[in-house]
This record gives sequence, structure tokens and C-alpha cells, in this order.
Amino acid sequence: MPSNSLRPIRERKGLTIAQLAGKTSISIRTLQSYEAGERAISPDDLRKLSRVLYASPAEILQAWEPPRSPPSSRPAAESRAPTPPPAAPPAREAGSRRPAGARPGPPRSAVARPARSPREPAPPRPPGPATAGQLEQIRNLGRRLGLDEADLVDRLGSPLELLDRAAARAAITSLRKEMEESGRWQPRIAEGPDQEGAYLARLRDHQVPIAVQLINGERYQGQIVDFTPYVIRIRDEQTGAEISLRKLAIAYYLTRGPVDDAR
Amino acid sequence: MTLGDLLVHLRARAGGVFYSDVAEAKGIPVLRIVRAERTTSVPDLSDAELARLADYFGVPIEELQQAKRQTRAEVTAYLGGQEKAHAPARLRLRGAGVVSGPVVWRDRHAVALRQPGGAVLVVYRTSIERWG
Repeated sequence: MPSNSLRPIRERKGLTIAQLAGKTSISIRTLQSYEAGERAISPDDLRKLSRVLYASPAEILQAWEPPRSPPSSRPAAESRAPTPPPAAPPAREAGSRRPAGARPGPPRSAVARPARSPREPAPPRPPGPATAGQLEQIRNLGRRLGLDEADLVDRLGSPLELLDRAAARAAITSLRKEMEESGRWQPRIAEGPDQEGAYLARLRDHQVPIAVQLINGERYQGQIVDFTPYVIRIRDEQTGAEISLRKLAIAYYLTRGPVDDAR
Repeated sequence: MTLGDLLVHLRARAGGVFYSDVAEAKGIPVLRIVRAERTTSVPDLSDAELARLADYFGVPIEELQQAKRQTRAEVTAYLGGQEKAHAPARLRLRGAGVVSGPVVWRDRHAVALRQPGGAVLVVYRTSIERWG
């Protein structure tokens, strides 16, 4: 039966169904029926799974044919490299109880939404009086420019309440321009959605060798095996062992060669 | 380095203690610590609270006070401005010297800088000490 990719993704993360159930608070039975393709994954559960597995909803929902061979020869399990040696990897020192930083999972926008019919262009608004929001914006901009209500009336040539929508829009534009030119205001620059997840996935999939510089001065080289919002696992070039490096302990990581599609 | 990033780092260095551990030990409401770590502007922790946090983590209070003056929004504005101007960003990192390069991408936690020869260097914000 064509199914989703929940099981291979879970196995790649080295989680059992029970562990995944614990992390997502989805019941084991439900997870089993999701993996068997007996039930469609609910949007709520998809969001939880996406966050815990650090995989996009699209990846999870991707069709996948379970192998017919017995479970002992799962391809995902076979290709797993030796697990890290018991000697604690140095970066763990930076907090083994729990990830300390509040790193959010994939951005919300990545969550699957029901397909929406293409939106029709909004009909042009009929002319009318300025909205309350516009007036508030004008007053706020005025305040930040040191203009009181009387100054604004003076400048706009009419009481604010009598402005129509187009005039209000023009006033906002010109006040904002003045604000920018005065140098007292900078447009807010957004921190932006998660980019690193996609970038790390590309480095992992293309097996790009990287060097990781830790804050404490240590340096590791190898290929990315896997990663979560908190940890990057690399296979050490020299020993072949897998090492988990906590992002908090990392100053930077550098690809050894050029990367074309770094975005 | 911003206070939020510094607190995250100090909690990690203290063995990954929870917000609640710090809050309980020092009598600061948990939410105030959470907010201080996540805010993009100036965290509203008082000097008295900073002193208690400095005591908890065993660092000089000046380090926290200095971090409080640097906001996440400033780092973001700097990186965003350099990105827009296609100018190289210059960052001093804790324990790793100075790095620079044009911004390839940036998000809440990290920024990628193009290096001579085409390699890409990804810096975590928690390690940025100074910028510009």
C-alpha cells in the first residue's frame, strides 16, 4: 500500500515508535496506523511530527513503499554507521540535560495547509473616509516626528477625520519618508524564517565535508550524518566515529570547498 | 553579544540548567528570564536582577550589563543592512577570532558568510561577540 515516509524518517533518527510517541504525545497505536498508511496523518499530529523529527511536512507525507523483506534488513538500519564511542564527545559538556536554547522547530509557514483555491484579485475598495488604522498610523508617525495634532492638521490641510482613504495613504507615505530621511527611524528588518535546516540538509545529502570550530577552540572535521535544531552529528574524518556537536558549543562551521547552491 | 544569547550560553555552560532552575534559585519570575532570552529589543531585567544572575552563573555583572545594551534587533539590522548592500559583514566571535564575508543567508539563529574561493561559513549568533 502506498504510504507516507514517517517510518524511514523515524528510523533515520534512530527513534522507536514508543520514543516518538513519548516525544510527540501521539499514541503508539495512532503512530502505528500512520506508518502502516491505514490512517491519514491529522494536521495537528503532522505539525508535532514535523517539529520532533525536524522534517518538513512534505517530506513526511512523501509516498514511500515499505520493503517486503523482513524488518531485520531495513536499508535505513543497515547504512547506519557505528554509533559514537561511549567516551563522551567533548561538545556535550555544554549541557547534556536538555537543549538550553529555545530553538524553534521548522517555521510555522512550513506546515501543510489545505490547498486554497487561487485567490481572486481583491476588488478595488470604494473611496471612503480614512480608516481608524490609518488615522492611528498618522498620529503615531506624527508623534515620532514631534508633530502634534494641530501640526498635522496644518500640514495636511484638513482635520484628520475628514481625510479620505487615498489622502490618508499619501500622508502616511510622506510622513514615513520624512521619518526615514530624519534618520531616527529604520525600517524593521525581520530575522526571517529558518534557513539553516534546509542548508544543513543539503550539506548532508551532498556529503559535503565541513570543519566545525567550537567556542572552546576545538575543531572537528567530517561529514554531516544528521542534525536536529540543537545538534549536528558528524562522522569524524579520522576515526570514522559519529560525534554529536551541540550547536550552542559551535562558533562556526565551514565547508571545505565551494558551495554553489548555498541558499 | 546580546543578553539573550549570553543567558542561553551561560545556561548551557552551567550544564543545561532550565529557566526554572535559575528562576527558583534567584527568585526571578521564570517568564522574565524567558522573555529576556527571546526579546529582540532591550530585555527589561533590572540591575538587581542582573546582579543575581551574575551571581548564579559566576560571571562579572559588567558582562551582563554590557550584553544588555546590545539588542538582537541591532545584530539583525546590521546583518540585514550588509546583506542588502551586498557588503561583507564583519563579526568578532567568542573563542574564534574575526570572520567576515558577504551574507548568503541568515535566520534567527545563524548567518552564512561567503568565503574567498566559494566556501561557506555558518556562524551561530550565540557566538557573536561584536559586529561591524
